[in-house]
Amino acid sequence: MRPSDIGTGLLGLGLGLWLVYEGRDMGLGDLHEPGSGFILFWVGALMAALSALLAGSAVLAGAGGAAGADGSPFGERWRRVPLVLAYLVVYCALLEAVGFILLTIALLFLLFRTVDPQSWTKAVLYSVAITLAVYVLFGVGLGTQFPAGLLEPLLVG
Amino acid sequence: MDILGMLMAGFAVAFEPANLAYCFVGVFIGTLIGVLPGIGPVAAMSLLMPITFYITPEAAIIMMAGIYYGSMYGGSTTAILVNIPGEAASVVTTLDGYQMALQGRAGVALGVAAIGSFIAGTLAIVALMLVAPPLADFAVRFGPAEYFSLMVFGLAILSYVTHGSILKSLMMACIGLALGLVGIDSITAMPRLTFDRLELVDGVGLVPMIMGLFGIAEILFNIEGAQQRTVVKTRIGKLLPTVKDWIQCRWALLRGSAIGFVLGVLPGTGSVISSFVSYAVEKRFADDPSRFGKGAIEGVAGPEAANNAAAGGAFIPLLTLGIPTGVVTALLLGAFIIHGVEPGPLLMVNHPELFWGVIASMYIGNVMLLVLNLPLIGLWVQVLKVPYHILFPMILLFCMIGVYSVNGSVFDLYVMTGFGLFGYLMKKFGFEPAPLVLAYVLGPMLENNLRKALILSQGDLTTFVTKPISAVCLLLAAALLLSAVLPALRARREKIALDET
Repeated sequence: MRPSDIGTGLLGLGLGLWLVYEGRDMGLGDLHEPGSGFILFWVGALMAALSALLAGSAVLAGAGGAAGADGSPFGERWRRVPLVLAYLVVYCALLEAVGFILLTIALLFLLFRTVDPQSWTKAVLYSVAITLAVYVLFGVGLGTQFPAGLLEPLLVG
Repeated sequence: MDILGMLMAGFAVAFEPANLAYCFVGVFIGTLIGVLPGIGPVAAMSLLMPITFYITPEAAIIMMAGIYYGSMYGGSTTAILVNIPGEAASVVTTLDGYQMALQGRAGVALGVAAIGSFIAGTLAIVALMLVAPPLADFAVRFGPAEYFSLMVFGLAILSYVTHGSILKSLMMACIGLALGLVGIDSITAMPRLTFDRLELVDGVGLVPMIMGLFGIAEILFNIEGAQQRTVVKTRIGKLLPTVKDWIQCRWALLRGSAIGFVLGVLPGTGSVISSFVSYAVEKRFADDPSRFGKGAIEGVAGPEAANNAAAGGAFIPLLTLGIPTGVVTALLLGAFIIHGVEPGPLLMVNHPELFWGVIASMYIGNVMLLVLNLPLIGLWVQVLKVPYHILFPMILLFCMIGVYSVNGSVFDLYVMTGFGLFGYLMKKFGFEPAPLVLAYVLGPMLENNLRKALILSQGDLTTFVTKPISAVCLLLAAALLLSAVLPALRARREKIALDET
């Protein structure tokens, strides 16, 4: 058991109880004709029970002195993770407005500069080359419809 | 028509130029992703799933299957030359394969892995061909109660063999079941857990979820640490093992094939466990067990045969019962469903060209893999030298394109990113994604069969224990879960437990 199991157990308990509530709300029906919420209710109940058991075991292990045995589960370079996730969220948000080509070049450039940073020249070169190759392969070759965005007058005509 | 006649008809399908081309694409990509550490068959299959929408069901399944067994071949190359398993099933190959490479026998290790994989893969296909038809006949007797209990058994096994706490595995299975229920209820047409979002009416997409959990999460996990890869410096040398080598490893190959096939059929066990079991068996049978870990050829031949045979065995429950036994077969089930084909006992009757075409393509695919793995070894070594910081933005981009191209939906990209974060955190806190994915795929089937069984039995719960097949499945599931909490058995489980993904 890890100290973090108390937190994940409590989160799971909350999720389980919410599923129980949703299941009841949708209608349980009866054993002759189970309703839409029947299985959701029981899955939620099982989830809540398992989570409570996990949190309870972690608390008991903590009382016995096991808490704190393991350190932070995150690596030294953990800051890269939220950064890359933020890039992805911004990419999703702007994809249709800015368009695939321009935004993908920007995303790749940032990725090349963030993880094991490449020189500016290399980052620009790789980003442009990969984006164009991927666009030709998927967009032109396989017919994937990418958003044109700002380049619409140029790409759509 | 007898089995041989059916197989010939299957070869006619597999030899169609388009199917042959997709088989080659599948095994080539499978080998490539097997060679590359950090991306596994699940991510690659998810990535290519959108492409399968535009091709015939035969071509789609042939390609997806090729990726799966192709990755088993490719994984050994990385294990032998870099001491890093290309995918989880090659963990054991690092023990003796890398030692052989250090001793200047990299070529022989690669050769025995490739030829051993070919022999095991072929034996598994023959066994699949012989076992599947009678099993499908037997499975016709299955009703809703039997199917429900069988799925519960499958989930119990996967939770049991998955790495780490069984409590956490079961929690993941619960989340997967709940995710599988998102969308319109097929019986009452009531929307469930859709949060009034139109995008969720058809449920959470399989592709964005898998790409997030396995693709994005893996990338996030890798970029947090330093990726060090050093390809072995010694010459690869000649690839063909000597007669002495063959004599030394002949029984290991046969035992590995048998172990892999049997364990591959069981839900949840698959390639990883079978390679570990094979290694343990070879060490026990060896005249001098101390050679193991120092470059014993049986330590490469046995596990490599086992993981390839397991890949063949895993097709049996999928093709005969319509039940996936792990994440990879769950993805294959997804591909079947997308094409409107229902795998199960009637697959051989309703779609013989698909069933036998896929089996025949596996023969051909195994030959292609032998050709790819031996003469092209130099190419795979070059691939291994591509630094991860160049590779990962490309993998990330392919994940995004793969997800976006399914529906052209930005919402799916958000779903993928969300599951990427979820998968990363799960990994950090000791939760494994495999039970979640299997439960997600089985969720709707499990619910339908449960409800049908209750309606048919007029609400009588004993229907699950009065039908013999159902009772046996539930009994085994209960025994398995109970055994996991007994201290002695728990220690044993934790020793063998490994996540297939």
